[in-house]
Amino acid sequence: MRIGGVSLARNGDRVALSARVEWEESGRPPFELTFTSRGTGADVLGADPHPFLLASVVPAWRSGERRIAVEGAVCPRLRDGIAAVQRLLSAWWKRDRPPAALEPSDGFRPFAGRRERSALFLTGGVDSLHLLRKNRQAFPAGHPASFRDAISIRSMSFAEEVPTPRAGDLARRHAKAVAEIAARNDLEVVEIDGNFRILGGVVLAGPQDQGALLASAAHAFAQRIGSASIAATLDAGALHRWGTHPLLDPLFSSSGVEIRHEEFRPGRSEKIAEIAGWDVARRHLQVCFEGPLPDGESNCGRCEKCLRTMTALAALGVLDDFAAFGGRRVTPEAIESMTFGYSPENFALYWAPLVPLLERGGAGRIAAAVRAKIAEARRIERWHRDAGWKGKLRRLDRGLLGGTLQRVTQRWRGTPPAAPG
Amino acid sequence: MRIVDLRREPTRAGARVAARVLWEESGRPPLDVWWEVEGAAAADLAASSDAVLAAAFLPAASSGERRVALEGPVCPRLAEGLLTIARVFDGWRGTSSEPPRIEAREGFCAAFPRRPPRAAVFLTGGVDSTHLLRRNRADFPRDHPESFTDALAVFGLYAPDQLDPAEPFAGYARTRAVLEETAAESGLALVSVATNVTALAPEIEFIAKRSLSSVLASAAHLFPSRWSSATLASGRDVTILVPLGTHPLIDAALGSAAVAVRHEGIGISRPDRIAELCAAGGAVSRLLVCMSGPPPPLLNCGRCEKCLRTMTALAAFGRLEEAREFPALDLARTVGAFDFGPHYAPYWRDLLPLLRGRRDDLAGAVERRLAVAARQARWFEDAGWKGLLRRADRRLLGGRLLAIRRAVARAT
Repeated sequence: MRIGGVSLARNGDRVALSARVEWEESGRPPFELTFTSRGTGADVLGADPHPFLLASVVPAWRSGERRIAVEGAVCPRLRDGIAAVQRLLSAWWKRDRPPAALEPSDGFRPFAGRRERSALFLTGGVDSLHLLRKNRQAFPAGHPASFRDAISIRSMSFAEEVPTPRAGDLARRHAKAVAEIAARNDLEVVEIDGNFRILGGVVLAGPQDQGALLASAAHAFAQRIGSASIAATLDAGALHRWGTHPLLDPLFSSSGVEIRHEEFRPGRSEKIAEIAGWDVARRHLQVCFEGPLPDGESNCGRCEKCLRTMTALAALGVLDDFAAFGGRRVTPEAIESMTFGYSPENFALYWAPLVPLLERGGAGRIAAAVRAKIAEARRIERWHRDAGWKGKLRRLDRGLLGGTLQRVTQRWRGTPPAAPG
Repeated sequence: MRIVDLRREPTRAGARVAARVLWEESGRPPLDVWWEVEGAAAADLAASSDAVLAAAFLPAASSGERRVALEGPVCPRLAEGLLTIARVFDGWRGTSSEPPRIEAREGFCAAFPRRPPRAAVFLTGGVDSTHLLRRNRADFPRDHPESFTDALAVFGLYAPDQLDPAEPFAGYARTRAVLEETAAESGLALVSVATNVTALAPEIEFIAKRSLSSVLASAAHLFPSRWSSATLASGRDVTILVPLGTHPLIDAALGSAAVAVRHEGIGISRPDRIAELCAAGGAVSRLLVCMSGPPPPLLNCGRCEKCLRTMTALAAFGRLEEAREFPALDLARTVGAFDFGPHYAPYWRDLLPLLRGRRDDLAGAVERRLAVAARQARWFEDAGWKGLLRRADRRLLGGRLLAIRRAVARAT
């Protein structure tokens, strides 16, 4: 892979930072990678290769590129981090390949230093709201670790060249929530957009790309922000391979921008409990990726993520206080009919902690529905893993009979030839 | 657990921070813990609640203490980090424990880091910290905030009961002299800290698997006016991380708002680190890798697994003779007779590409020992048809078959 031609264009208050990414091994066409920003923070964007390198490193690793040649100098701390990232991803995803070598045309050179200004990535979801709450409780204004900027990234959720109405609506809801939360917490919003999700060539950024993309956005503002904090998705008791992870994210730090992965002690239910009494969360919590939604609605209240959050709030007895969910209720029927969400393999992990909370809160029927749904998710997960004696039989069937037994069973049952779920 | 009477007091050659630890649940007698520093750095030694908390929290948790109560203020970032570490350990062990509450009588207060930033590195003289220091020197100009200015050496960790409070550095004079040379060569000041704080939980296994970084971090937190970050060299690369008391997940969580703790070097394998040191020239002459504490005159025993593995790597690059702290021995024969076991096999396997074509005698010895380790691993895992037989024996015959086989082996 080659990254070059980094350029900066200003048009009114809109600043576009671009570079050309050329693939050397995968045969994909060259890609014009662009970050755009306007308003607060846009004035500090500079023609620097680090954001492009960070946005490209995981796609390069995934595509088996043998090197990443960068026009310009690269920070030696980031060099070491990128080597570790590739080795870690290869170990997690069982890919036996050497890391792509980093070849900067101007060698390895550190940033002059870090700005004494901290930021967080703010989405309005549970994790980032919780992180903001904890930061405000721990650090006085004026402390270098106290967040002063909220980095808001459009186009993070969908890899679309032309945003669909759903993506456009989500971006609007997201921007509105971030603006309201920032205004109530003395934060300046630093917005960035770009086509970095398309370069990755994957539908979901979560499994492999997320941390690198967040770090790339932070590095675009290296002249303003010295530390950018990512709110943990996973908790310390149940870490698994994921694109934002306490092992992974700090490796995207440079001598110019520290990337912190924070608050990975509490589980999601604990985080929800800790923000349940916070007025800002009650009004502006935004967890939903569905849409387009009717005007004024922040969350659909029906998708897995909405229901998971609402269920935790209901268990705490505060769902009705959350205007962000518009007075919706959790019912056993809603639980039964929901899909398994964006990471079905983690469904049980996410939902299991809610069962005891619901039971303690006297919501036995909902708890029973959740328990049944978890059992269904586990059955499907075992099916996908080919676990148990049935899995062994399926493996034997595929290995010895070319899957004939499975096809016959499916025809007999009248089910389509695909995995359930 | 209560931590009381935290104080800083002058000593003949420097200063000491001490505190009294009172156990509330475990019925253990009170323990006075202390950290002593000599020389110019003693002026910066601070009686820091964060330092005591970092060192005492994990022993308190493992002893079933329900709280750690301190009289002074505690950094909220450190407190959260310690609770996170407790949960990381739970995740690793598949347990669910209730960690001790952290109670600070003067509240939770985030101190400001010193300005301008200043960086320290933990120096042991081993491959990892020597390599990290070399890299830092190569990567950052001396006036850069990330350029190391101090080397921090902590003594007494593995034998707190053998420290003489009147002369705490007495048993470490040779090691300290070598580290001072290494530090001076890189233009660093060596800050030596002697401490008995591992007496809170002195078992070697606890230190290795739980508390190592936390006691090192405690020494870093004693100097918030001297440095704003302290970096630990990773002992492993990212592909072979295992639950240990020093780990990137743990070490970063030991930082406070004033003193960040970093864990660096996980992207580089140990053979690559040794290759870089060998290429640097001079860097291998003072390597100290041995934990056995051999008698004078040498500081590496040349008999333990770590010594032999390091010597083998150095021999692959033809630099073993320069490493003055290792004994001269017939390395191929010694390695060929050494049982390093399955746990260390991955490290030895990494050496094979370096040895082949350069030291085929050593490569052959390592390959033979790897084969033995693989057999041992299969035994431990009950793998293969023999494992199946052993499992069946245990389940159906209560292990009688194995007992008979052993009795026959003893008799013959």
